[in-house]
Amino acid sequence: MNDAAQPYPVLRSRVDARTDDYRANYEQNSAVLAKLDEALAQARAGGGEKYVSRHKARGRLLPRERIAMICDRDSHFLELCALAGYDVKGHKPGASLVGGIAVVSGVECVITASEATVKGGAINEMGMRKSGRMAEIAEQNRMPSISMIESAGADLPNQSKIFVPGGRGFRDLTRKSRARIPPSASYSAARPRAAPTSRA
Amino acid sequence: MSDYVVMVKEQAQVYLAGPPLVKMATGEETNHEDLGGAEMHSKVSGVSDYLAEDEMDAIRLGREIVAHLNWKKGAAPVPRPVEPPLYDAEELLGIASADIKVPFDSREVIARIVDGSRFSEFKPLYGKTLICGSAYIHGFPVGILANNGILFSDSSNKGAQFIQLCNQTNTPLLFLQNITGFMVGQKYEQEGIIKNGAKMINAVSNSTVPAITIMTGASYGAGNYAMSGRAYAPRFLFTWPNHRIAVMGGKQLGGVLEIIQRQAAAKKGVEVDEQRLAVGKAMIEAQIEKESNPFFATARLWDDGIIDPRDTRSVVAISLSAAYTAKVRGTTSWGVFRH
Repeated sequence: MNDAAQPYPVLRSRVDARTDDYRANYEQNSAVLAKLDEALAQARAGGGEKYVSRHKARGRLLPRERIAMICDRDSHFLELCALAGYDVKGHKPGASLVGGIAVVSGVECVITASEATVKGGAINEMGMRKSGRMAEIAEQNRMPSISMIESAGADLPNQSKIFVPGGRGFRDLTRKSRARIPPSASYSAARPRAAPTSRA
Repeated sequence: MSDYVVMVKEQAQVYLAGPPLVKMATGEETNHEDLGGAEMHSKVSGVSDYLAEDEMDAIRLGREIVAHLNWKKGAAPVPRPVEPPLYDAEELLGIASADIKVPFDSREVIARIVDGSRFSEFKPLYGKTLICGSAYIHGFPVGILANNGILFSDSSNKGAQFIQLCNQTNTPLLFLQNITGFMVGQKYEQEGIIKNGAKMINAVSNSTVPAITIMTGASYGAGNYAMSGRAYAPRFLFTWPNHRIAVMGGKQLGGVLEIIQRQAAAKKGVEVDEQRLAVGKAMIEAQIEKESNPFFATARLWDDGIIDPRDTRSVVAISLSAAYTAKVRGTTSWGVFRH
């Protein structure tokens, strides 16, 4: 129909769905996808039944609910790094942070939301790296970022893994502001924020 | 540090140090709300710009703030009608080899992700192990580089040239990786596989158009680099669940270690401890197998996520649209190409 618009030739497929190879691939790939679904379900479960119900009992929204609410009604949400920290000691799948790309008020944004049901949303090593990656995506693609924070701050018992590189988060925010890529934050419930640099 | 801060009344709190730490530092007795509550920060300190009544109000304010950013996309491709691919994406599950040692035709993948399954192939008769060509995905123009085997000197040169061409026309790149590496051996070294591979790495490294990488099978060795692996900063990188990533396969690495140990033993004139060697080999093979698994990789942020192959077209389209929020501009400046 659009030959005039796009004169590229059509590729001819030679795939035969009846071959043994095709069937074997289909079966094995489907099995790994089932494992993927299972891992993603673990990530969605956050800190587990007990902490999720306690969170809800306080009348608070879960991170994915917060993201769904702030997005435009017909927006996509492309979740990124959903399995950061999967099977890594001291982490839950997702690394206590949900992040991705969605449309807010007609603008494509990078959105992150703390997973407060895991250790009060405290920032761990993988979570710090994930949030760094989200900041990088916002910067490289010049997208505004929205952070929905409900975090106890740094995961203090593991401070040695995050304190020094963690300072970069603040540097990135102000440099993005300089580059006129607005970072905005909506703090919904930031409990004791441990910023180990400042005690004065 | 954000440009805008919204805090939720009687819920949000923010401070440098919480009441226990304040007490430890100065002896001052205080409480959460007076020290860092949303109301205090909105009325007294000015740390917060908007006081939200509740979470829903905060979300409403967030949407309002984004609306007044007056944000405009940096670029937009010429609008064109979007045709779905002619072939079913479902078939990608039967095409992608579950065993990464078994090759598959990447044209079959391209046919299931691009608009109208239409593809204008560049240099189709030259360097055939790297497929290059132009297509549209949801109306966005892309230059596709897809492996159809190992990289040789000719395919590397072709890739470098194609990346330069896409930069000339401000066209984003899509890398479809399924690469066990560059060809090795005396003949290929004499042809200059290193300098030709370096040309492709030069092009990938200095290219300034957005790149999106999908790992559809193998991602081994310098092939990972030349095909815009994580270290080459593609804007987005996703993997298929069948993919494997490592410097080399476990079997190959085990074999290399075996050869080195046998040579070392021969040099010293001692017997090889066969049992120890076999155990060591099995251990390294198992370790590489575990570490090249897609779940191991994604857990460590080597990619932006494992995707269902059937979602590839949508994921690439969302990524391209995101990339177009910034200006899309190619470069004409490159490192020195060794000819």
